[in-house]
Amino acid sequence: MVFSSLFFLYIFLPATLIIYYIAPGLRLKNIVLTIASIIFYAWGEPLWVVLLFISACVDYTNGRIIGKYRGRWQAKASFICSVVINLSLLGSFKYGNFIIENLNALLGTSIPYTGLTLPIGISFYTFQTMSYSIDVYKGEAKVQKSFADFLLFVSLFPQLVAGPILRYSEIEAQLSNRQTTLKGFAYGVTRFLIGLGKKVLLSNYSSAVVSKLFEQSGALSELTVLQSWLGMIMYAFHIYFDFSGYSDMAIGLGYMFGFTYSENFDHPYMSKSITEFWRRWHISLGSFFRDYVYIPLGGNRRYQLRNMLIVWALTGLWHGASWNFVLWGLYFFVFLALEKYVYGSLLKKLPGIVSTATTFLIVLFGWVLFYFTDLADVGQMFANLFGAGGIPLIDTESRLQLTNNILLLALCIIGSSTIPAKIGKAVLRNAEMRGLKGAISFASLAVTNTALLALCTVSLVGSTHNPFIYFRF
Amino acid sequence: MESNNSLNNVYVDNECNNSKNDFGSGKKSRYIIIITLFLIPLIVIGAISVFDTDATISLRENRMLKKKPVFSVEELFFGDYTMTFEEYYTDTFPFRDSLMGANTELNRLYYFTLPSSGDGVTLLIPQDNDIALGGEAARPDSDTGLDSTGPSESGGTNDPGDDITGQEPTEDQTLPTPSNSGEDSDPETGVKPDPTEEPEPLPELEAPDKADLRTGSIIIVGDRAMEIAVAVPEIMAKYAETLNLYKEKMPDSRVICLITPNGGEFYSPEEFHTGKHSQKDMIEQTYSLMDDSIIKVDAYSEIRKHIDEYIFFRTDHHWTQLGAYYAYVAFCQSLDLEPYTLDQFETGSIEGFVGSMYTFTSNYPQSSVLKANPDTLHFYRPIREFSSRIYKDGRMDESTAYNGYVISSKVTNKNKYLAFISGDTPLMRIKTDVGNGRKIIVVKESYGNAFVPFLVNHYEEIYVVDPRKYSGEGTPDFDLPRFVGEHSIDDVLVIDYPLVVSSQRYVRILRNIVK
Repeated sequence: MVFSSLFFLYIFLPATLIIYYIAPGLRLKNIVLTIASIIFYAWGEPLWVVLLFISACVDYTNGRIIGKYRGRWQAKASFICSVVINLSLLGSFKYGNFIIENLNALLGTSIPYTGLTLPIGISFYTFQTMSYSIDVYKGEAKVQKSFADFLLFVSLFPQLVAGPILRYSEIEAQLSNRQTTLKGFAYGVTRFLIGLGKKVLLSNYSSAVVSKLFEQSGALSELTVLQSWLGMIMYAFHIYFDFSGYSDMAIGLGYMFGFTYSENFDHPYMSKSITEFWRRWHISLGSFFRDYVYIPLGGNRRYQLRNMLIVWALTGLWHGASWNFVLWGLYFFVFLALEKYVYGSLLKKLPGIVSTATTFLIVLFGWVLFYFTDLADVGQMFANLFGAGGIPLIDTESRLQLTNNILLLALCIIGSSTIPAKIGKAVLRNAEMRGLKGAISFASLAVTNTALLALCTVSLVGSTHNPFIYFRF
Repeated sequence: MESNNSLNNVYVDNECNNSKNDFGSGKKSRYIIIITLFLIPLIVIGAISVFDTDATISLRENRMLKKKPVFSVEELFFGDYTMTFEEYYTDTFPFRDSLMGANTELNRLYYFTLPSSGDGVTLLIPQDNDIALGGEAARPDSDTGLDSTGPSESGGTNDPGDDITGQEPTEDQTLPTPSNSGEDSDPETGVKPDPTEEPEPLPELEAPDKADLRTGSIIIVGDRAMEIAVAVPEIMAKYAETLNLYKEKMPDSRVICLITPNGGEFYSPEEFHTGKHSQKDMIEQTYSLMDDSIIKVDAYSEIRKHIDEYIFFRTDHHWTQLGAYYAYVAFCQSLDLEPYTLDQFETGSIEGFVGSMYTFTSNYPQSSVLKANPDTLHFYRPIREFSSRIYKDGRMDESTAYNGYVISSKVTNKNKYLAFISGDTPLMRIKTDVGNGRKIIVVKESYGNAFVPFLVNHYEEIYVVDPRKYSGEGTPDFDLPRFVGEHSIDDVLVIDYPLVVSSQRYVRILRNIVK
């Protein structure tokens, strides 16, 4: 199931909330939430829900063993076992075909493909369960004795399929002791609606522009320079609003059930350097690689460059089983290294707008590597962006496309700046206050929330507009 | 409602039990309002959506809505059940049509146009693959068919072959009464279709491949909407190859190919009909890859001469019958026939035609201009006497056959293009009093519908086959060469427009009827 569907919004969510709040006691509430989460997952992945169980069982058991035999070889064996099993799950489901493809190409063999499809969210929950075993092994988290609570940690539906990647240590206490407050719930509602708005009102439309330009209108070489820029910029906004909107919704839903997740995005497109960008983009993934790969490798104390190289190649690969993602990771490695060793200090002296614009451009070119899995397409797109090989700047079609999307573009630019967050924070703060200012803030909050819900519903219904023309195929 | 109150009570209880928070009761009520404004719509609309699920048709979109899927364990495990269930849910969402209307308004933001755009193109959207398959002439009659206003409509726009609801066809729908003009009368009338016949299962939608999605786009210029074709040379080559195969398999018949341009070639801004969009080039290139033994009709040049006339609809993707007439003139030239002149035909017209181009763009505010300026459909009745009969497939089983019409002046369906040859049917046979012994089979998508009536004046028997009716799972098979042999057919005419010539799926369908 996805958050941005009518079924989730009008059936699953209210039903889950009602049953959750009717259920007496946290124990029962947790069970309700676990069942709801499993239904949520199984809705889209009825078969591979099994993997989720396997992953949960493996790490629960390993956690218990590590706790029991702390400091002895059994603990170490369990720890290794957890890492191996989780990485093998990920390896076979996500990278199986990729590995086979490359082996075949390299050795001239013809190993058949696995035929496995990528189970939803596997990259997220295997990391979550693995982090638990590692934390327990390192003594940074306590052993979870209750399988029910552990299963809840693994399956918790708000962040299950697209993050943020939860760290067991940050959620541990909340599993057995958490409070739902009116304030928290109201904040959760607001946060969820903001996320929904990002996804439905910005990301979906941006994505439609991208697919219209890059997938439905013939060869890339036939695009104009304007179309290429428009497409790439809309893609940058699509991926940002999609992902950060999802995180917002997850955080908001978490609040509704009394959980506090940490933030996952912090206006990444406003960053003044690539280093800063990666502190603001998909924060939970960055910190995962930092804590479980970079620091164990030696961090900045030894072989820093090598460590960075490994981390960024892996970060790239995590995003998808294809070489272009590795290239994308390494692309950032280059800029991060350059900022660290070459021009980092120079960057700080630049006016803010220049460094922000430069950073955005670097990220934008990065999305070219990210979007096009075929390297020939990557080359063509760069040629397009720079107008190489006599590619026309503009034509009627691209002018019309720019006009059609100009308001969307403006909304996306404003939406990705810090302005709405600043206003939002002030409104939220003031909405609690007495007096006229408080009343106005509260009223605008209520109106914004209602409008977001209404507009998202209209758009979700509208997106199913599917005129019957000919369907017999 | 009640549950919602109790929900709120729970929060309040939690509040009281758990903490002495630092906000007073005044603020507490504010939180409750925020929460209530969110939960009430969710619960109320959610509850309505559970009980109000009887919508079956969307007039707005002119299509049948999804039916509740039948549960099966296998489908559940592979995720198909939940997927179709969600489609069904969104299709039957409460207030769906009003919300759709609101969405068109919302789209003013997302498909923004300045009041006076440069060259008048106000909208450009990617072409849907399905419409590119020649669109559809026969679709369920959303105006009459579903509320069964009776069989009075001559020739009934309903067609059992197109019973997309999967419901059992009623007598009303399958047995059109002969029209007063006598054009539908058939010596074989009286054979009632078997009402107990099992409806055919619906064919699965096959996932289109990427290349196939690149078939074109729709633009609105002024008050006219057009499909813009995109040349895909590999697919056009396949199309030509298929025609060559037709000739190879039917060496004793003449194979005639007629590819017609559409309105996009003549009424769009220059860049939409030049380069890869040039339909002239597409047609010439496709023809050039065909065997010399295939007769290629140059309809393009003839149509080009008349672009100031009303030869293409503005709100529909088809040509008018006048457009088809000029193609017929070109056809006659290629075959050394004497075409009838326009003044020899008895004519009539149907007002208020808002066609497929509107249906397809109705989600965008820019299309309101189409709705406000409907087309008028003019028809030209055949000059010679004839009778027509529609069959389920090539076996021509009389027990399921019924009388068709070649021209109907009364089309109550929104889609007035159904006025021609009873819409898209699997197989139609027209017998005429021409008496020259000549027989032709027309392999067509819906562009052929307006063309066929002219053939009545030149052939003793005309067979019309729509290859799309044999392309899905569960649809009958059709073996064109065998059929042509069995019925000693002289001419095989394949008539198409450029959007299907560059559609991989359509070419596959054409290939599919040659065994």
